[in-house]
Amino acid sequence: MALEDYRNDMMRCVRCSSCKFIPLGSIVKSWQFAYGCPASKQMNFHSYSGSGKLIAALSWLDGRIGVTPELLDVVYRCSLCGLCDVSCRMGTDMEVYEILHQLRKKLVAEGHGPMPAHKPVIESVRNYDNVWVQPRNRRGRWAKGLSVKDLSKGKEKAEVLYFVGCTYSYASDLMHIPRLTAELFTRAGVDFGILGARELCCASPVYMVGQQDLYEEYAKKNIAMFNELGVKKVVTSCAGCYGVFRSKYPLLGEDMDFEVVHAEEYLAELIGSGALVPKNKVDLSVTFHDPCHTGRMAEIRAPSGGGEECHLGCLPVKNVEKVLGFDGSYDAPREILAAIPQMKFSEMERIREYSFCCGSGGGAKSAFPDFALSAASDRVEEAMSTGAEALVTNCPWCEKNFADAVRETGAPIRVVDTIELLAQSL
Amino acid sequence: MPLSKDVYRVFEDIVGEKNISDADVILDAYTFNWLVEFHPGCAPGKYLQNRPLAVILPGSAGEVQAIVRACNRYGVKYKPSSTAYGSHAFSLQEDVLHIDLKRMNRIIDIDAKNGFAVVEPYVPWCQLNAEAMKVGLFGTAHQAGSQASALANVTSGWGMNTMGNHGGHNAKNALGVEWVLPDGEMIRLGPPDAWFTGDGPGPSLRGVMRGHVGALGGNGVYTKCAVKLHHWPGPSTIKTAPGGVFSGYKLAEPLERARVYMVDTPDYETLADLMYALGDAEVCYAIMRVGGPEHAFAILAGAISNQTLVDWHEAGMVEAAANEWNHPLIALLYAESDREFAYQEKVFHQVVEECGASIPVAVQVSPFKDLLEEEFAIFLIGNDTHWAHHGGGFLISAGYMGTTDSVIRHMGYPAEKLKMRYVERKGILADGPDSTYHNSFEHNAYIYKELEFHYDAANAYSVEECRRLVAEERDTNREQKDGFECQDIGLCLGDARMTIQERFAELGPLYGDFHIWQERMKRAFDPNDVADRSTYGIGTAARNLKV
Amino acid sequence: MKSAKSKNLEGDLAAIVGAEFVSSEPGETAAYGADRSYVPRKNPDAVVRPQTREQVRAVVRWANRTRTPLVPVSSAPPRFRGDTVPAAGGVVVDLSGMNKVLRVDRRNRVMVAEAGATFEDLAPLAEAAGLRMVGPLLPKAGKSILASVLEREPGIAPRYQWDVSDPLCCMEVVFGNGEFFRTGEAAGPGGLEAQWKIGGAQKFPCGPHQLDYHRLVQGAQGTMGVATWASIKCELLPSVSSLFFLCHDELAPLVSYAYKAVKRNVGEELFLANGKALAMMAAADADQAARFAHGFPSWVLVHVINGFERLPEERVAYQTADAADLAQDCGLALKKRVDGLGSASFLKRLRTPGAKPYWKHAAKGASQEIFFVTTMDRAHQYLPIVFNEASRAGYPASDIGVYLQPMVQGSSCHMEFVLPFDPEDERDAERVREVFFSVSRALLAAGAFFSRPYPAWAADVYRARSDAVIPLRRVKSVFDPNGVMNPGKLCF
Ligand SMILES: Cc1cc2nc3c(=O)[nH]c(=O)nc-3n(C[C@H](O)[C@H](O)[C@H](O)COP(=O)(O)OP(=O)(O)OC[C@H]3O[C@@H](n4cnc5c(N)ncnc54)[C@H](O)[C@@H]3O)c2cc1C
Ligand code: SF4
Ligand code: SF4
Repeated sequence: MALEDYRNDMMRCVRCSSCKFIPLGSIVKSWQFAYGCPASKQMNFHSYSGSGKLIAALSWLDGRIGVTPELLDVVYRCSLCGLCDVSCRMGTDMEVYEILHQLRKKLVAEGHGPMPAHKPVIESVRNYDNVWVQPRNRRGRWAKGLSVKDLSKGKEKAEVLYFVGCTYSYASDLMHIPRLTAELFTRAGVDFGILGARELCCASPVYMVGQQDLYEEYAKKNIAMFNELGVKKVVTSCAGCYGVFRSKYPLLGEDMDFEVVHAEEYLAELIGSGALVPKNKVDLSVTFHDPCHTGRMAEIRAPSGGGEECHLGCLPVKNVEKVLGFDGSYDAPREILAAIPQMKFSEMERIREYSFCCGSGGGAKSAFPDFALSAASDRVEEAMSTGAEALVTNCPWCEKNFADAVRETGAPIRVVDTIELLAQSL
Repeated sequence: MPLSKDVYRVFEDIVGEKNISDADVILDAYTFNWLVEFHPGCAPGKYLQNRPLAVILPGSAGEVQAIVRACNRYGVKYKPSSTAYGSHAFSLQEDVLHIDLKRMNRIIDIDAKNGFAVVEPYVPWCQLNAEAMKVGLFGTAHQAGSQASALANVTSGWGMNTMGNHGGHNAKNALGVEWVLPDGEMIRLGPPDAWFTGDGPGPSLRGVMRGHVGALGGNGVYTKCAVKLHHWPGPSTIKTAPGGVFSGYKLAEPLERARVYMVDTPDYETLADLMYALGDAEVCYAIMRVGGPEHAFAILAGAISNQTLVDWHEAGMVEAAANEWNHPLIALLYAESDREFAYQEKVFHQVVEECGASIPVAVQVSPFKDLLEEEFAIFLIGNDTHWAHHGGGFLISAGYMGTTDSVIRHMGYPAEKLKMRYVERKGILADGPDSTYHNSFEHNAYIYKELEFHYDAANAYSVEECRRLVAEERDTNREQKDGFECQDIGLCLGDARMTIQERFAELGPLYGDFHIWQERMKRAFDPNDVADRSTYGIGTAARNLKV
Repeated sequence: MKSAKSKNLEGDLAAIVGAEFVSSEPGETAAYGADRSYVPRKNPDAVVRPQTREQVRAVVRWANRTRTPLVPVSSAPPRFRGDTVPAAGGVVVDLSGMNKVLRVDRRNRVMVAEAGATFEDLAPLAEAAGLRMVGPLLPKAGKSILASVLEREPGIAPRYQWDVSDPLCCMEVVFGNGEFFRTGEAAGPGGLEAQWKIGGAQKFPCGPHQLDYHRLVQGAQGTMGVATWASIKCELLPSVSSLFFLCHDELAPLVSYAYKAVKRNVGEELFLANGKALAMMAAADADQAARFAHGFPSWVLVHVINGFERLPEERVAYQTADAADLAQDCGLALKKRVDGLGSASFLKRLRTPGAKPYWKHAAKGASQEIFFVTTMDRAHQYLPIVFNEASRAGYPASDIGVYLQPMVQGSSCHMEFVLPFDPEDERDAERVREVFFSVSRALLAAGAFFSRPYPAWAADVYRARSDAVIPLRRVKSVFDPNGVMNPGKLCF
């Protein structure tokens, strides 16, 4: 599959600009929060929208433009959040996300990409199996003092693998999240274990910037390892891991003998079954941010590879089922928050499959921190507009980026993880 | 000739370095658009032959004025755009500075009492209506979709819109306007310090601002416009829930005192009678058509996927509907009070019965019943129409504006017969003969209709067939010589044989030599000839016109 | 005594229209040399009365050749606004003889009338077809329909007015350069008959193509060209009508009601008037006007709810109930009577165009009027300005009639002050003259928008609007390159 395979879709872009906004005019609820594409919100030239990137891709394929710093800026100043894909596909069969990703892949394959800021991350994965240039043996440090099974040695077995991910493993300001999660699992009697130092990067970050070879290498290693462990479920706290496990790994064609579950889906089930009962009141008004990668980007988007047939005269019909992001993991965090006594919950305007990206994905945070910050600030403003005291989410990347935005803007709002609130109420 | 460094710097000084670019990757996004494939010389691609010299992003009316003045000073041609949907948004000329108004995106004010909003160019209808509904008002979003600019449509584009039966044509919905004239002078239409009217003192310069069609960027830049809004009997926000069959969403709660009907008529004469009678009765918020059953299904399926349309055909659904319905019409009833709604319902049914129309069985059962009850309002309100691009585009022929009788006589033979020939040749989507889209305005005081045909933009044969179809349709029309405001004179498209300028020159004498009058006006208002000509009058050819 | 120049003129024009339709008799030309405005007298050199559109064009062409000013006039006297007084002399083109109603089209709810056709001419024809033109508030007798729409006189039912140009649809104009042109949908192909034959009815006003010619002829006071006929949007003739009065001492609650009713399409005819103005409208003579004015409340809103072809009674009933709810929301009530004035008789009055005497003269025999466009919620700001200014000049504020007509679906309104005076009383007339100018100036200074700047106001209005003057002159140069059309008006 290659960028060239999607030439027809590029030709079919009508430049309607729907991909700049959340889908369907009737869903827009205000002037302020109508945009769906953080790149279009920040950058005003059309080229930065999903459509603009399609045009850029076609121009490059056609030899109308060369690879220039401006092209790389257009391609990578984008969180690959997939909103443009959802909005476009509400009315078309076009595969916008796939084209954006193929464009990155081709740039990398031909030696033009990714951005300089991405190279250390890629090297870090290659050399240390994580994105944070940290030694492998410190990966399990977050679990120090917890009594959890270590499945990495093959001695202990469990039904569930709790896959923590690079960021929760190494970021000292976020480590409490996996700890709390593990504690809650233990409390609910879940039979789970971790991989400790043997855990590898999920490779979502390298996938996102277009480093396909490395992604495939790690994805296959992970699949093999999970199969080998014999676990029924792979539970992850990180939205990035969850998204790539759930939506991208299956496309590699390998057998996957396990189910991918987000920790919050698991916890919501435990609450539903009565295994966990939130009792303590948490007197807080909150709103929830759907991360792209637990949401629309967690849905399997089988790429057509350009395969299509002509029916009814000249109707191009694709050989894949079209998805619109409805199948993300949207309900679990809401169910958890609803179960916490006294918590007041209100929705933002842009939610679920048309959630507004925090801006940090797709390598944007490292390559274009100003872009990431501008998107996060926009989202923080939206959270504030609901009157919430806390912006809740369940992705380490979003949390970090929101925290930066709150620090930068001085917005009077806390950024918290769903797990923290749940833990408080138990 | 590219901009000299010095002149580039002049523009850069106006907007700042970040807001101007002449990088190829940026320029190509202002070269590629829907319908470019129908400009002779561009097909089968979608790129215009000329890139702009640069794209500039002014942030205020003052900056726009400075840009236009500089264009006059240095002899640089310019073309403005708002949301820029369609080839009309770009210049066909060489060496043109493109002014993208995206940074001018504010709603300056909504005057809820007097019923209008003052907007900048890059406020799409979806943003405007989201705010307008909060104060009980609604704007007449045009069919290009709610992501397209309100100001561009009202001041510069066309103006046909779904809610026109109640809200009128958008050529009539402009109030006060702030306008940077082609020579860089700035004026206000209407009073200098208020927006409630754009007419006077004395003759209304709205007449120069636009006509049936807007100046399409050939007449300076409109930097703010008061858009008249209309009363909205609905809720302050539309609550949607996932789950609709067609759009993926449905109304979370039904709209009170609202109902969408699809009624069928056995022939075009009855259709006309029905439209007149509904117009007289004034009971419909919207009256529109999306063609016969095959076309209606194609549009609905487009909201799901192209595969769906094939499935529906294979399941016999489309054929069954085609056997039952002939020429359907869609009507939205929407009332402010229960009493009004009861009256509307009663009269509506009376009219339908008297005219010999009927409500097809198919729309009285699922899924179409649910569509009408739970989803159609989302389509109407959201006005999300990009799903009409099954293969990346549709084109129109036989577009007319006028009385119902004069327009309806252009439905059916010969336009439909011609279309079916192309369907047989597999150049366009097989969606039946009647793919007529129509809106009524001012309680059916006049109507607009166009015959749509859907092509595959990525298929050179399909594009070529469309060009031939338009040419043939124009020939038929040329022989008939009986159109009213034939939409060709608004649609900036060439066909297989001629450029749009040539087409305008041909139509001019049939319509009062409008091309000559326009050229006279152009020369009076644009002494340095820098405002883009390619979509104004008969274009560059008019330079040689003896006026 | 006729001058040599007049004789030449007459000869030339007679060759075009026939001798019986030209006159340079001072007795006749004097009738056009002044009106009831304060524009100084200037008699035309001749009056020509073309009977056909071709004659109109020939006259305009002749005027271009001879550089003779032309002043088109369509309505019968008396005239009030100074716009037809030939500032530079020349020839008055009196179109009152071209007064045929060319077509009344029930199906398309439209009629076509020549320039001289009056509201009285049209009404019975329209009625016979089940239609009516929703014209201005109580037009004077002999008022040309075409002239009324060209002047952008607001119609009495604001909800029918989508655009300030309504109810004008299309028209034929002989532009100042002598070329024929048909505006809007009427532009072509073919002429009227050919278009009718294929179901056309000259309804869509815009275009052709990228200019709206009608907007440039409207409000131009004859400075762009001569319109020969116009098509006018009509509405269904009501089969049942019910008129209500809503009364209050303050304007505000009535304005609230007006906004709601217009926006929600409740009822049709709607305007607001002070007691004095309503008295003038309703009275048959000065005595009755005085009696009415004495008993009428400070402010009255007149609202008419109609039923048409389908379930007319039910329509009136539900709309009346809705109106009553709206009234209640605003602390008002719908009344069928206001001190001695019954709703049925006032409705009849409203529906009879051209009643004599002209209502604005009912109180004292003459009047001056000052009007501009504003919004209903701004209107109250102008009251003290006018009342104070009038009182200062010794004119009793209580004599001033005030009315507001919502326009363009309620987005703006026509606000008018009527200053009645006794034309026989020189002092009274002089005082009103003073008041007229001082009030006009005060209103202009307060930002009142004189969208139709008749000669008394034009200089002041355009002095403040240099931005509009240059583009307007460009338009003028396109349509009337030799400046023959009504020179000296507006900013030309
Ligand atoms: C699929 C589709 C369906 C459509 N259906 C309809 C329809 O039903 N009814 C209808 O009315 N139109 C329709 N249109 C055309 C549409 O009206 C125009 O596209 C429109 O005027 C506004 O949106 P836009 O994004 O195209 O504006 P733009 O392309 O930005 O503007 C439209 C034109 O106005 C000029 N312009 C824009 N902004 C300014 C400005 N501020 N000052 C001066 N000139 C300016 C541009 O140069 C361009 O020529 C349709 C278009 C498409 C693509
Ligand atoms: S990518 Fe899709 S949504 Fe965006 S402009 Fe193109 S067709 Fe429209
Ligand atoms: S992926 Fe997200 S940021 Fe990138 S273009 Fe699409 S919507 Fe914009």
